[in-house]
Amino acid sequence: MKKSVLLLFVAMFIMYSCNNSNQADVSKDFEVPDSVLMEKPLEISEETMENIIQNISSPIEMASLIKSTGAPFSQKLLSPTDYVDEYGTNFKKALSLGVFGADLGYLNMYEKTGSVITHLSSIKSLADDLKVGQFFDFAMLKRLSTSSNNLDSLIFISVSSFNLMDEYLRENGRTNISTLLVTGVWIEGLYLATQIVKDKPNAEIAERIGEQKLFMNDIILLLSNYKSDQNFQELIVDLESIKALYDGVKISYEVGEPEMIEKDGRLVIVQNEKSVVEITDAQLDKIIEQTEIIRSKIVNI
Amino acid sequence: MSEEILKALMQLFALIVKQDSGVDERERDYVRIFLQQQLNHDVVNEYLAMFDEYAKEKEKKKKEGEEESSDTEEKKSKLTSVKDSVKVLGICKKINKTLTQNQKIVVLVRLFELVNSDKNFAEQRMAIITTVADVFNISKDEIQEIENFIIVDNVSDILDNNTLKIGRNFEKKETEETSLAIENEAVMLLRVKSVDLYFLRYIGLNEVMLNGLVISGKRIYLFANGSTIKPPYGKPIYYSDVVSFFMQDSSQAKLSFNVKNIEYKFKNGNIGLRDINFAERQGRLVGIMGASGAGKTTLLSVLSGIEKPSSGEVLINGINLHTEKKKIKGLIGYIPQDDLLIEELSVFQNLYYSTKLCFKNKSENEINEIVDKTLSSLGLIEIKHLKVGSPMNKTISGGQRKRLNIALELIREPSILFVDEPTSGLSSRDSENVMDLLRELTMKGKLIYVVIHQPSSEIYKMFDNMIILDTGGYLVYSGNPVEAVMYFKRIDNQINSEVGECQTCGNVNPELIFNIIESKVIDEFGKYTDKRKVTPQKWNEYYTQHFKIPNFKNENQEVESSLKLPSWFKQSIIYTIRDFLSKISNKQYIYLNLLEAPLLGFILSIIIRYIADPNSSVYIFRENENIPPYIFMCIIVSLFLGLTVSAEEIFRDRKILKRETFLNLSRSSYLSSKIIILLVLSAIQSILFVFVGNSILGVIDATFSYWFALFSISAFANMLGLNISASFNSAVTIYILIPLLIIPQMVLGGAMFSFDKLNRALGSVGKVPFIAEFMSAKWAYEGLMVQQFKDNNFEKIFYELEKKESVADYHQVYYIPELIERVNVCMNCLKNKDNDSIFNVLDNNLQLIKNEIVHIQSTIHDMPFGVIDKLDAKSFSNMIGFVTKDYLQRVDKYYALMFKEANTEKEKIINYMLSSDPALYRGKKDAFHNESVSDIVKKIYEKNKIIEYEHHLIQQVDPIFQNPIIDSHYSFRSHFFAPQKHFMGKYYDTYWFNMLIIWIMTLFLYITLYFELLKKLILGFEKLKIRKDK
Repeated sequence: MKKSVLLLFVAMFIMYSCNNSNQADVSKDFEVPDSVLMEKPLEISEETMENIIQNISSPIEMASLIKSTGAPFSQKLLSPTDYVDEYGTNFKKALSLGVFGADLGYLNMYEKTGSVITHLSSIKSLADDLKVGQFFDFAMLKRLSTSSNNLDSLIFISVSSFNLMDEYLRENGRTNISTLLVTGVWIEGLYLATQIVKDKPNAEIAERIGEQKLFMNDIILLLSNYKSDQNFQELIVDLESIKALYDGVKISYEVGEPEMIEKDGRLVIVQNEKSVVEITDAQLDKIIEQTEIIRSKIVNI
Repeated sequence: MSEEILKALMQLFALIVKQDSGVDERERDYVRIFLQQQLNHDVVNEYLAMFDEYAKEKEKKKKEGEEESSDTEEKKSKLTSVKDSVKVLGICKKINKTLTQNQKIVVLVRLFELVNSDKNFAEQRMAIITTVADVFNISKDEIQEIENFIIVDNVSDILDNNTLKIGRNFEKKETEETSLAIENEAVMLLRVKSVDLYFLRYIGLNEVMLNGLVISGKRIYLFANGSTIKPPYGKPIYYSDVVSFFMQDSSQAKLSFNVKNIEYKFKNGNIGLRDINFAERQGRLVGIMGASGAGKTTLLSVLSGIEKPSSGEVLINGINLHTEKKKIKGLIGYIPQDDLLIEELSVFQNLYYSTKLCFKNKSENEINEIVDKTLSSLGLIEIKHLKVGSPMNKTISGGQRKRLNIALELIREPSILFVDEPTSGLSSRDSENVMDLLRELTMKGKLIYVVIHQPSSEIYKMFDNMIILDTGGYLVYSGNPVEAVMYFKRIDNQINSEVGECQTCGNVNPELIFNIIESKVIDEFGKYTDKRKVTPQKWNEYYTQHFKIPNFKNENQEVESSLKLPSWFKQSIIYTIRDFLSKISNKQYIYLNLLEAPLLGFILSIIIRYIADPNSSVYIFRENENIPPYIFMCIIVSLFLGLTVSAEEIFRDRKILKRETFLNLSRSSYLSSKIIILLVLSAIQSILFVFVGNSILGVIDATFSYWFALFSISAFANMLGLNISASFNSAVTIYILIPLLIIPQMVLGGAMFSFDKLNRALGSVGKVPFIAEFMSAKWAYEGLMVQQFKDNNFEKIFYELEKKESVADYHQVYYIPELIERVNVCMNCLKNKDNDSIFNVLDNNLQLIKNEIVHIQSTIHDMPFGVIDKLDAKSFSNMIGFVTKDYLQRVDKYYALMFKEANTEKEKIINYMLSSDPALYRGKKDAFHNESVSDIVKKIYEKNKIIEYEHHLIQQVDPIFQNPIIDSHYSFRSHFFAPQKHFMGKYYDTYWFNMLIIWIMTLFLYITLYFELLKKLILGFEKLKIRKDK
């Protein structure tokens, strides 16, 4: 009897020590130097930023383009949600919230209701952490996305949620978060597009990828506003690397035939302008490769 | 008497007789009569022949010797004498081995009697008697006394302390020089002190009866227990009178015990005792008999002071037993029918601790000494180290148990002792031993009441007095036991009613009494009917007609108790040691109690050690969703352990407690011993549980706070258990009660059912439901959850920042927009102000807005709002509305700034940590922060973030970051998972505040336990019910 009691305790003790061997140093305390907490001023005004952000595409646009090319849905393209709980900084959270937002658009476009729930809960958790959860009525989003025939309202709500959130963030002087959200959406859109092309070359999408050269500059400009923050600085460096690849891409505008269209009950003559993107396969391949690297940096820890 | 002894006696008789002239006819007669008393007719002759033969043989030898040489006659006769002496020695040694000292005395008396029968006190004869006495180890003084008593013919010649002479008028206490003694007539009684035997001799010519038989003047009679002498005139002399006469000499405390008109009513109104009257004094053994249900035990309880009579009084030396208990404390001892032993302790320990509790002034050695002495005097010394054991699992015999029970009382020597059926379930031999013991006590001057059932003749005769009750609590007899038989026979008109006991064997049949009392009427078919010939009332009437109720004058001597109680503290220690020893001697109990907790901890934690990532085998505390249920289960387990370990504690001791109330021991010291032991046990159980459970689940750095919370809960449960164990009357009810106590704790603990989603009648908005405030489980769960979330090594870095963030966010996102919305509603209402319902809406909303702006101003001081007085339905205008909205927007800006500051700072810290040592940051988060705990205390799944209640807005999110709303200076209630608690204008950490509340509850339970409030409540209900039934 006594022996068995002893044995039991020894067994328990061994479990105890095993359990903690990999966390031996967690009791160490952090010393946060005061210098860390110093504020640094912004470089460009909020109004300018607002204008730029308005120009960048919403999460739905790229997804709808992809769907229109007839490319099949691929689960593999979605960002992994495993690390959501482990993102430490708001920087990371905001960036990945953008990424997940773009993914959500992609999922909704293809009406993949099963996977939507996982993404929604990740989005909720990130949005709550960023204190912007109020803009998502998750119960409604869930209901809409799990029942078919609601695509339009779903898209409307998704888009307006993102817009409201963006607006709120800017109103409250949290433009950094808003910027990161936009960046996240943009990168994931680029990623999705590049992956589709990588799988099966498609001229239209390739052209859209080339077009991103324009937005790229805007985003880097936005981000440079916060470059005193090391995270932003790193992100800028990463984006600059893509920007360098875009240097060879040429975008020219062709002036087409003027066209008469009816608008608001009046006839208006519109001068159609068409952008022509020149992008080689080699350039595209490099862009695809680099986008993959940067995107994986964002979604992984 | 065995054959061998009888033979030896015959030889002895013969040896004495033949010493000189040979067998005298008188001597032969004596032997014959002696034999006749012992044996039946046929065998008498056989032994008489044997006697003759022995005697003749000697004579023959003598004659032969005479023939051989007449001149050496003298020499020869001396030679034979030596030879005889050797023979005598041989016989005596044989006798020595088989006879008790009492019997030896009897033999000696018989020898003297034999010699006395022919008054031939030849030297050789006396020499033989002396030799016999020597070998028997009888003291010289006693031999002298016996010789004197038997040989002397003249009454006045007998003068010594151990002889009682009773003259013609037979006044008992007359000893010396009574006028009538001159007439040479007296009943004489000799006491042989060493063995407490009494011998009776009568000198005179009248007819004196001993136990209904005429005694002969020539003979010496053994005056046995329960005997009665009836002189021709005057009152009978009882054995007890004689004993008490001799006892008088030793200086004993005088005691009077008068019972006057006692009546006792049961709770249900039935009468248990009716008009009982009697009186007793010290040194008496009083029996109480009666048919079952006659009220014997009730009488005993009333006499011992356990129960209060409904009328009448019991006076001990003039002190009322029931109203002046304090004055006679320690005077009374009570030995109930059941065992009072602590089964797990040894015989010695039982007695030792009981003794220690009685005598503070005795040293350790003295106590050991008296315990050993008592044990050996009760014949228990051989088994002193044996465990007492339960009656089912015996290690010592029933008789030994009973004697040990008596020893417990005996050792402190109470003056009055009450014994309930000491012989039930014992063999007749053990019964007699026990009764002898009690008899001996009375010799020392104690007054002992014994409830007895079907006593043997021997035992029956031991009593000095017998109280007989009949069904319904009627007293039908009180007086001499043997006399009782005669009395009832007489009333029943039986023949031979003057003889109480069997003439040949001396047996008394007490059953006869009950046969007479309860005899039934026979119907015409010769069958017994249910009807009694004589009803109990009638018997009672007979009794009051025939007997005068004795009444001793109240002794006013101060009663003194031998009890010297130790101090409160010492009592506690003794109790604690006693309890501790009895617990550790029960191996099963110890092993089970010490193993149960870690085993439960092990089972619980190993089952819920969940790894979220299916591809990983590394356990991460942060991801384990089972931590909140684990915390709750810990609390429930502690409640269970605490309750089960304590629920039977007092209940099990209740008999021992009943006895110890006679010692006037401190109840609080008893309780504190229980509490000390239980708390120590609970502390050990909790630490084992927490150690195992927390280790397996990787709850780090929280061992103390978990332990203390669980220990507090256990302590609370211990006290709860003690309360029920002191209040309910069976083990089953106690165990039935446990779920009733635990389930509400589980339901209202806060973990299983959300407090927001309870029945409306119970729930209270913005606060924990009132009823849940009484649940210790709720306090512990809240305390531990808050502690687990907020005070860990990771969260403590961010808690204050997150709190600011949360407060600002709540105001910005829900609170201010809600208020602005309401201002808009009010402004819309202005258009139709005259409509009653719209006016109401306006009024309600304005009231709310006003309340909330007051609240805002109490938190933000430097933002004045000038028009607060205008926020009522009458003076509200669009203008006021715009001013209010403007104000609210300023408040919004304030919170926006606050949020940004906190948020930025937090972001910077995390950033720094991640850049300087990301592994440490992640490790800390994994090890200390638990997502599920955080989800629950932040209430992230709550749909209604803000609700309106009684013109206030109530926050429903992030309770962990919200300070409690203060209603008054003394308010201490709060919402669930508040990070801190308020009381008297100060804030306290939730964990410690909650622990304090649990201990206050525990203290409250101690008070109810000490005053037995629960028991009184239950009794109160029962009384109420009885009254209703009526």
